[in-house]
Amino acid sequence: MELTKKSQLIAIFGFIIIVAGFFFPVTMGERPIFIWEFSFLFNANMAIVFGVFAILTFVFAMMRKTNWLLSAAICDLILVLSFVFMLGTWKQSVPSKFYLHFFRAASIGWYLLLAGVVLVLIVTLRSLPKKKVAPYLFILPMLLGIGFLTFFPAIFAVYVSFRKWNIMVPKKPFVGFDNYIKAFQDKYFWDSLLISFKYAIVVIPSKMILAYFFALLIYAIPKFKSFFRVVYFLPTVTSVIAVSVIWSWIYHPSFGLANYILEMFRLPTVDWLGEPNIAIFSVAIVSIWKGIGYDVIIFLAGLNAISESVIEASEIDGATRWQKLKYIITPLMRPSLVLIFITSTIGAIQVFSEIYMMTGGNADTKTAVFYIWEYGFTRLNMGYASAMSMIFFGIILIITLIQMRVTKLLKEE
Amino acid sequence: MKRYALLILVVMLVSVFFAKTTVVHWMHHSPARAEIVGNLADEFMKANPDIEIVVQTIPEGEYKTKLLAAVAAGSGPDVAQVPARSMTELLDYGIISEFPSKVVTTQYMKDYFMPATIESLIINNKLYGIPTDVQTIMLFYNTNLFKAAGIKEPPKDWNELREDAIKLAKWDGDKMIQAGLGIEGYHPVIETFMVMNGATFTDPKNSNRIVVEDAQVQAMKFLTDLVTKDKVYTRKFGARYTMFRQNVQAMVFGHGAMLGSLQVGAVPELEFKVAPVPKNPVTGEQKTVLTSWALVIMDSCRNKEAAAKWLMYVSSENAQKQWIKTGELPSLKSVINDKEIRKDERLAVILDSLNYAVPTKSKGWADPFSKFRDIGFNEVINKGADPKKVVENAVLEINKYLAETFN
Amino acid sequence: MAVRSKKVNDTVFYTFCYVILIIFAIVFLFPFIWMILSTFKTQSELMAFPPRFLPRSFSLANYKEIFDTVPFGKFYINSLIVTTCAVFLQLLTSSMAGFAFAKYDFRGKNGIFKTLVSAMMIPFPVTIIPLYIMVYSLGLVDTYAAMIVSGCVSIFGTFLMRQFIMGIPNDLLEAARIDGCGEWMIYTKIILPNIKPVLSALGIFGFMSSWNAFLWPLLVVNDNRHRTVQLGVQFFSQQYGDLVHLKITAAAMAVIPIVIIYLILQKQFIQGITMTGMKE
Repeated sequence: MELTKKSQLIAIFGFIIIVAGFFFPVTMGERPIFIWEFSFLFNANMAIVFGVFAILTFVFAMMRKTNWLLSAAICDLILVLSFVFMLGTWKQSVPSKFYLHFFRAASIGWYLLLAGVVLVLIVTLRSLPKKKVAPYLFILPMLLGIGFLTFFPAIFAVYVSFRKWNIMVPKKPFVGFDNYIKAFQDKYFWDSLLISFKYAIVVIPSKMILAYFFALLIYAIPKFKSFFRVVYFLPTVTSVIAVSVIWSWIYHPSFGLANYILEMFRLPTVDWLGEPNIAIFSVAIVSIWKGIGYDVIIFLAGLNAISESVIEASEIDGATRWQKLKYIITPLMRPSLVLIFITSTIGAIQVFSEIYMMTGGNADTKTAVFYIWEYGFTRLNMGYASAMSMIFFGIILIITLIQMRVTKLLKEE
Repeated sequence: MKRYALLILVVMLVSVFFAKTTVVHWMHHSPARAEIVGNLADEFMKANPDIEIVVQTIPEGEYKTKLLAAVAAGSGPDVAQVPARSMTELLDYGIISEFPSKVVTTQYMKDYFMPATIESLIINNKLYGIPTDVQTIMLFYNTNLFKAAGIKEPPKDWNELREDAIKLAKWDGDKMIQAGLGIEGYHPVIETFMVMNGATFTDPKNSNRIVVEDAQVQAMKFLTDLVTKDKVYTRKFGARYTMFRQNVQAMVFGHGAMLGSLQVGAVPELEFKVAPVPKNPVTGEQKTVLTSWALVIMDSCRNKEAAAKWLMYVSSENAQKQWIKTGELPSLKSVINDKEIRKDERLAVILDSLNYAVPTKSKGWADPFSKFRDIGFNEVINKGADPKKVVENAVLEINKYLAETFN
Repeated sequence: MAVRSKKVNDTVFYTFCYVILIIFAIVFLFPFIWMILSTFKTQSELMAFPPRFLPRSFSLANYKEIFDTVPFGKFYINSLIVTTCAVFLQLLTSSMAGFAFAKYDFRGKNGIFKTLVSAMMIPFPVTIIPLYIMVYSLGLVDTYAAMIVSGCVSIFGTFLMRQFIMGIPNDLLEAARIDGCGEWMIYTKIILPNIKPVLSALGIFGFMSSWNAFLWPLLVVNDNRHRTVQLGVQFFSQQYGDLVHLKITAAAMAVIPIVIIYLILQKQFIQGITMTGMKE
């Protein structure tokens, strides 16, 4: 679409504001710094880089090519924001270690550049058909959020994993594949993975089967369904902290309820959270206890979605409860079962909070995530921790893909 | 107009001059200690109205991460409590600063403080910290159980320790009903025995490595044998401090601070005393490992003199007498020899231990010597591993950590 | 004959169901009851063996001690601030994005959608360290912003919104456009009012996960000024043995608000979970 004359004029006005920005200091403070003192990638002078894009902006505005103008304006915006990250240079205005402190130093020059770019951007967007622009604007916040919280960190993690990274030490030298090689040779890393698997093997089927069982029972009873739903879901609503504290107390070797009950039955007492072979399973029990409610609710929703007519038809055919369950209900519940299976697996393998709160990694309960955390935040070796987390990610990915394949195969039976 | 400006300028300058210096102090949280430090801060601020002390406590589990992250981010405190074993690591990072000699000199420290408590705090003849939360390993023993077994005195050396523990351990078939000596491999205890056996850990060629010594292996073997062969204790019986409190365990090693802690939640009939760690039967060597924290001045502190003044106040004679109430050992020679304090028999024994204490060789905040327990002692007890192999393995892992951290 | 045996059959079956459900209901409820009762006990009462069920007296001493030791009231406020902001942002971004995916056709739509799906696969151990490094490089350690930002988007939420919004008839939108409504007005005046159930469901789910968040706040918060309620519990773990009576009471204090909200808004909670769990 073509720019209207009015829009064109405004765009050119924006360009003039940008040019004005060249003559004022970008940052002020201990000393003013101008645009030509900043360097962009590969040591290119910012004044030149910005100048080039600014001129392009002007040219496209003159040519009234809206799409190209939009691209140029977006590039301008990126350049304006990139000043924030040129800490090395603007540190001379306001000494700091943090990027966001840029805004303490930013001065007229920068604001002019920003204003000009924003003006051009707005006027260009308004010139484009609304229906085309709107969706991008609507998904922008979410994309920025996900980019910031997930994608960028993941890429950054790869970057960190190739370096020796200690937050206390300014130098973070490149070490190539050293961290990865070390991880493959690290006996304790593989031990921790084993513990994670031990844990998962216990938690996943138990949680699923018990949840399915409870869901079926609640589905079958005529009255008080919502009471049980509310009660069974209660542990899930509460925080891991509270649950860990109370269960640690129940598990206390001398004062805890668990051992008291054992003693009542004249059984030997157990050091639930201290005995190496048992501790991980004690934590598993707590996880199952806490998480089962969630699965029950999902299963119930699935069960309630089964149409009455199918059930009635089977009853007319004389099906017993067990037959109904085996041949009608369970096959129809497959999507829910698969969903819970896959999400439970991913969740169980990544267990951390419960271990942190209840055993602190002692008694053979150091799961993979705990080990990674320990290396990153206690031993301050974030490069190595990142490398391990990448390997861990790979393993989870493979498991999930296998799961999806297998469940798909079962579906097609 | 000009006069006005001048007046404002003068006021500003004067107010800067009179501006309060703020010293932010971080410590790990414990209600008792928080109270004492709070009181000391109030007293100090009364005596020094131009210095403001802000005390912040951090829960212990997160303390290290928080402190280092805050310092790395530039938002750290002015003074902080750090484990003494981490001093060289922090110095490497460049985050702790020398104490200004105007306020205190290394000579002063050497004259008035117990040598063992300041050994790790003086680096390259410069003072980097003041000792706090000093602890040594002591032997706590149950007087009633000893009397019942006909043992008159606490064990003087390792052989007596073993004999007494065996005598005091009672089994009912497969179930333990009384433990002789509760031992779970707390690494300062292990290090104490290793040191008494002559271990030095030092690698003459590389100060950032430790070596395996036969003395270490023998000490480890002695301790693990007590559990595996002599059966003086089993983890199944119960946690060592808990069972001591329940009056069903005759002996336990622990920090002096346990003196107070063992009485909390204990059965009313519990009566116990403190004894020094038993000597080496062959060489007669008596040593105990000293662990402590240090109060350090961060490099980012703007008024280091005020900070040093405050820290000296926190470890002054008056303050140390208050600290004793929480179980912390004093580090001033004058307090250790104070007659009033020594009237408490048990405390006197603990104070005396400072005379034969040696600082721990575990260097680095992550406390690498804990490997002697994690993959050392525990492996022998739980999986029947060979003491020699586990010591070698532990030393290997410790060296890995040292190489990562110090280079 | 057949009818009567079916009735007996049914009664036996139902009894069996109820018995099991009740037993496990006790299993699920009991730890909480135990926790609440324990908050009224003193330290020595807790360390009694055999354990006493009821406290000697229902004294609020523990609660008082907690408020005396740490500014727990501030912790509540902090939790509230962080949670409300995070949930608000979550609802806003998810509904906007869901609207875009449901009612617009734009270049890259499928690609972007698939990218969002894959983003869900990235596990938190991978992102937590770099995210921490990023947050402190920006200077956001110990700020509300750091805590809010980590909970301000939800991909699940976007899918849910998309699902729901797809159900809104296009005629409504077209009519509005003809009337001269801008796209933003369509969003506020037509879409939002029609997705109230999803908004409340997602809102509750988001509130729950934000209030209970522990790991991330643990990393980014140093100062009591920003500490949330879940972190407050950690104050009572110590070097020489936890202060159990206070730790349990603090844990109870962290949990009671959300349990109360849960009991009042039961239906919405369960509806919310059902919706977030049932994806295509």
